[in-house]
Amino acid sequence: MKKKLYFSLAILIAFLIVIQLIPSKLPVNSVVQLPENIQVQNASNEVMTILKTSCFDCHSNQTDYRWYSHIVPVSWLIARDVSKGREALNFSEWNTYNKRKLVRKLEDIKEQITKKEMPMRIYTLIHPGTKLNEAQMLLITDWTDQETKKIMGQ
Amino acid sequence: MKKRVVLIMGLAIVAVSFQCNALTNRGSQDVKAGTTTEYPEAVKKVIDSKCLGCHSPEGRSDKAKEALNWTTLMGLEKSSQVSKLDKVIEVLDKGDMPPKKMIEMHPEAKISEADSKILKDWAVATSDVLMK
Ligand code: HEC
Ligand code: HEC
Repeated sequence: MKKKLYFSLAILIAFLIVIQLIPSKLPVNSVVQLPENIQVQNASNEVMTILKTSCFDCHSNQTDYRWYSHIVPVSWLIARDVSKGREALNFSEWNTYNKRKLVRKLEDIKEQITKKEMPMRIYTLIHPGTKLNEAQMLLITDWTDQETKKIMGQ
Repeated sequence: MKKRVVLIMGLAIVAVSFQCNALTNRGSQDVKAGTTTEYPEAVKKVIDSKCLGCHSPEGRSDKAKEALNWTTLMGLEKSSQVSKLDKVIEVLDKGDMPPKKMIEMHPEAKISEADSKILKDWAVATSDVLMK
């Protein structure tokens, strides 16, 4: 009975080791731009701090990969979230968005924040201090409102 | 005497609410018919033939209706109109709409390059005006 258990464990461990050989394709970080250099237009320091703390890992080219990010199969999940996240919204490219796209992204951000869809729940569970409180949410939506008005010329 | 007043008032309220009902019914019938009359003729033609089947209140997919409803688009806040138009431009650029699955089953559902350009040019021009 015990033997069987050890055998199964050994198989499992061997399996976990072998799958480490499968490349996980974590999206690469840009080497040029350090996080401090990303400046989102007209975002106050407080807003920038929130975005950096709670969003940049998935929505910028400056993901802070931790040690476990490189371990299969966790790395597969992270690779998917980061690449999908960067595609949906990338603050590293914010200053290249045209006015129309900015209006859209600002509206999307407001929606995701007010519906509490973002940051993703699995992320806030693992990273303490990244979940937004009411005051932080208000700071973000104030910023999106003002920025939208400015672009719309209102 | 008082009773009569109450009765008349009651009748009046019923009559008024009847009217309101008729009005809202008419409104929803319009929406049902999928009014896209506010769009320029050439644009309306493309929307009606290539997009409206899914992106109107009668569409069968809730996802599609939620993502875009042509019959109410022009009544949204200006910034929301711009936001939706940007999405329209993006799906046209990528060739993502109508969805690939639909085109596999019904090749005639595909939007022609000429039609795609009509819709895109209009969307770009309209959002530019909205952002002035
Ligand atoms: C753990 C990764 C992760 C974090 C952290 C995260 N996001 Fe996201 N976000 C995603 C992914 C993945 C998507 C794409 C979802 C999809 O395509 O279905 C996304 C999509 C979005 C979108 C686009 C939604 C749409 O309608 O297209 C917005 C806006 C957004 N996130 C804002 C934020 C903001 C603001 C924060 C920080 C407060 C944040 N996200 C934090 C992973 C993340
Ligand atoms: C067969 C049904 C169908 C037709 C026809 C169709 N769509 Fe869609 N559309 C959908 C569905 C379903 C979604 C939602 C996709 C999702 O959420 O993944 C969608 C989503 C969209 C979105 C939102 C995309 C986003 O990123 O949020 C836009 C914009 C759009 N469609 C534009 C169009 C245009 C323009 C046409 C006509 C040229 C069109 N659609 C024709 C089914 C359709």
